[in-house]
Amino acid sequence: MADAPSTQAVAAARPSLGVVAGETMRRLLLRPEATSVAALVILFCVFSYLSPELFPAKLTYISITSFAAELGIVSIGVTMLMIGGHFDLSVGAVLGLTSYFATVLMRDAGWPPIFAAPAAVLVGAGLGAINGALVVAFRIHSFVVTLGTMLIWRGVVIALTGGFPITVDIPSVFRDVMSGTLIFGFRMSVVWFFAIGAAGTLLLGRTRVGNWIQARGQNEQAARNLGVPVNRVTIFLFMLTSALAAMAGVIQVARFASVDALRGQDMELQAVAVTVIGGTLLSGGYGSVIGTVLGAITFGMIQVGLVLAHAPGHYFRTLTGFIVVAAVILNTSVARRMARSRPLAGFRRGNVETDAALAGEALADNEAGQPTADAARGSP
Amino acid sequence: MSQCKASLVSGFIRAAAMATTAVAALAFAGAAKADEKPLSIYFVGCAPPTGFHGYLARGAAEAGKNLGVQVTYIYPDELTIPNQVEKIEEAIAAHANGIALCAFAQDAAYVDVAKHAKDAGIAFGSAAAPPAGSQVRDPNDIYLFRTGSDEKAAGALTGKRLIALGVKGGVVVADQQPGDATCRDRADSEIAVLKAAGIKAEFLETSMDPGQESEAVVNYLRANPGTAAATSVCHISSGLLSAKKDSGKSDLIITGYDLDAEALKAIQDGRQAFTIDQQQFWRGYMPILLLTHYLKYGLVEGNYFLTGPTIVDKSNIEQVAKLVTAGFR
Amino acid sequence: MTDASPAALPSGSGSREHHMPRRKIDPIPAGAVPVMEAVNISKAFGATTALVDVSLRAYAGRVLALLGDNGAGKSTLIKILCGVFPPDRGELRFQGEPVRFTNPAQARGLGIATVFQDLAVCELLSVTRNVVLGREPQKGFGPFKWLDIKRADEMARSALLKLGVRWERGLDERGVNISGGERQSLAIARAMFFGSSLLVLDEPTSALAVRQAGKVLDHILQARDSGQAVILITHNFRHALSVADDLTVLAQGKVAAHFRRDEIDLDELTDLVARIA
Repeated sequence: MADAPSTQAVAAARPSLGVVAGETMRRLLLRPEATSVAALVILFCVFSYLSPELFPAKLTYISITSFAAELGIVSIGVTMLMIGGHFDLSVGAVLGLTSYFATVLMRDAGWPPIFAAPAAVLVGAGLGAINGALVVAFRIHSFVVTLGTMLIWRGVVIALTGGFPITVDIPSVFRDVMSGTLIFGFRMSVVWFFAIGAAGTLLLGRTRVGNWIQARGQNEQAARNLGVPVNRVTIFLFMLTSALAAMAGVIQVARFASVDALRGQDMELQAVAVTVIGGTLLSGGYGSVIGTVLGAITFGMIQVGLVLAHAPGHYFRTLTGFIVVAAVILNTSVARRMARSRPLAGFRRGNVETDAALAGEALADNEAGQPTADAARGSP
Repeated sequence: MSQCKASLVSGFIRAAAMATTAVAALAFAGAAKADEKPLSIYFVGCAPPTGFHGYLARGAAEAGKNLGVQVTYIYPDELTIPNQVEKIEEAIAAHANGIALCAFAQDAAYVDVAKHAKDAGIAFGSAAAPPAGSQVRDPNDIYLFRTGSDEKAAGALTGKRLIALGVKGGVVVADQQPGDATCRDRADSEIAVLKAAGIKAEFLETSMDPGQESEAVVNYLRANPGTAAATSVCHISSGLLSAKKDSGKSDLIITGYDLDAEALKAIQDGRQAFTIDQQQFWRGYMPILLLTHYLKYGLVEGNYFLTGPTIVDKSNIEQVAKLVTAGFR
Repeated sequence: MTDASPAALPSGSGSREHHMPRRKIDPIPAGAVPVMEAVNISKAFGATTALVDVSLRAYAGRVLALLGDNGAGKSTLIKILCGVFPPDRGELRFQGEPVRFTNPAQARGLGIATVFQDLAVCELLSVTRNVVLGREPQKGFGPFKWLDIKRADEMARSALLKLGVRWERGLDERGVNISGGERQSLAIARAMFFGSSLLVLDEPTSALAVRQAGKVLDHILQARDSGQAVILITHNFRHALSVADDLTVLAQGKVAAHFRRDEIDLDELTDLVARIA
């Protein structure tokens, strides 16, 4: 496979430690999540300055993460779908409809939550499958399809509830498992949120379906030509997005023991905002679930920070909007500047032969138990 | 040649048959017309018939049933003056006998369409409260009547009741639908009444999502520890009740609007102090009644009629609870 | 002009077989079964006729250049060959057996690798992920299969080395940072590595600078030499003549001419196409 490299060539290709460190830093900053971390840090400093006694406190963090968890779970689905090149405006309506479904199952059909909750998530997946099937079969833009289904599902919830909220008795175990403040005061919903975030990150980065999702978002035709089952990937993504919306709905039902006709309204746009703050491109193909997790926390931080900073009550939306736009501008401008950057001098990569030689060396080093330069160079 | 003639003849026969049928149909229709046709009344609403507006629609439907008139509830998808006026025009075009309007804007916005209805011989009335301070009906009013609940009065009533309850600390007024005029009216008048009595009252924009609202209010309470009461102005009180529980402030006075299952329970077990009932059912029912009696008997109200607000609290909750489940309150 | 032995020249210089005079090409052995054969293919889109009675044969170890002006039907023919849509009339034969594709995945399954001009590479994926796209190696079992990135890296390295591609950067470089020529080379390397039987290239050199185009042409020859059948669509006669063993000219949806490479030279070809196009 590789020509036998001369040690000289290998040595010449090996960069110095300082350069490796600098290059690692550069690559970290290139990641889509980097800018949402930056936004988070900046906002933290600003709000801590504005309310020094109240903001940097555990209660604040609990509140921020609680806020972020429910919105974040929905947003993770929206993010993965957006990376795959599609939009879903119906997530809020799906959340409402599946919440209603879960409530009715528990209240009227007497199902215990252990069955009602997964049933609601399955219904969510089914609604997502409808979205996906419509997009694939009729080749209509997902924006339009999900705009339509949003109206349909929302209309169904409004009609079925008659506009009335419905309450249901929730066993305390279920409420605690889904949303109880069990983890040192932090809510269980945050645990679910992080778990789903981890699962989503693994799916995107470590499975072949993840590769397919990114490929579909970047170059659908090329992916198709290479045998990627593009249509199945699309339907899968829509099902996943709606199932996650249903999951968030179940958490809310557990927490508030009720559902109302407008549950989930406007969440679809918040989810898009969170996704974009997190570094995912609206044009698809590129993004990060971790970025969305950070974006949801950022969004929560904005909301909580404004209240604690005594921001004038009439201007919340305006201020939130300003900050979201600023975060996105920061995001894209830093990303652009970084993308134009070149690897540091002294980190000029060898060609494939040298790569092979270094890889061979790395293998040998591993067997000898030494750390290698591979660490600075892993494939994304 | 004879073929031609034959087809001509059959054509004539067919035409004659059709003409006879048409004449017969007309005759029947004419005969039917002579019978009493139910009055057709259109209720032009402000929003889809759910929640708050569901009561209006149900009240109107009940009135229609009781009085034997046909009631149709229509509404604009998005509440703007042009959209609503368009809906009124549709009702006029549908040859309604009477139109009741959920008026949300000043009279000036509806003057033209009111004249249009009048010229078409259609009775036109407002299902919205009269401007404050006017009790006796103005003979030149563009509306045949005005009947409704006053949002400003509702806000003021909340404020007054809070003062009567002896609230000393601050009050936070949470608006879940910023941008909605009804909510704004309620909030502004409550804050005005409280401020006039020297009590701190602040406006807080929250959202329809109970989780997000809960977090916002919990943090408000942290930033304003002297807060004694919280009012939910435009949605169910789940978010506020959750915030009360999470923040541990068990003495926080919660008030809200309208009656739903959650508010009922909360009033019954004491978590919520009271709620304002605008008696929207009446607001849907009364206009139909007033229109019908005008069309049938020529009766016109002498005084403008306010259908609400009224307070529902622990003292009358039991009686009201049953009616809530039935959808009347 | 060029040295006869390619080994004396650095690879990638693009100087193999680029002089125009005729050279000797082996005739197709009698009885050889073409890897892919189109038999009397016709296709129309509504009122527009794209192809009328087109037949061609692609043999293993030979490059077939498909020439013709825009609108002559080349793209349609290629799409039929790689399974995007079926022909209205006529049939395709793979290794002598009739086949009918309902989707590109089926063609891919038989080893037909198609590289369209702009669609070789996903710009935001790394080189490794691009190379293994659609055939990702996995480890693990049951529902918990993970992407084997280490093996994917090895596969990408092998593929590129085999082709003798001199990559100036590493395997985690994103597609957007790769030049056009390198993208085509990547696509060819990918096809070769995963063992395609027929490589179809649609205008691989049109957007490339001369040096890059030269490299891609070298890689095409390497693909041929490794035993693949290659169909090369181009409207650049020089490039076609420099690599092709056989040439077919399409005009107005019909096969206008077919030559072996040593039966024609650049001037004759130019005249011919000018006359019939």
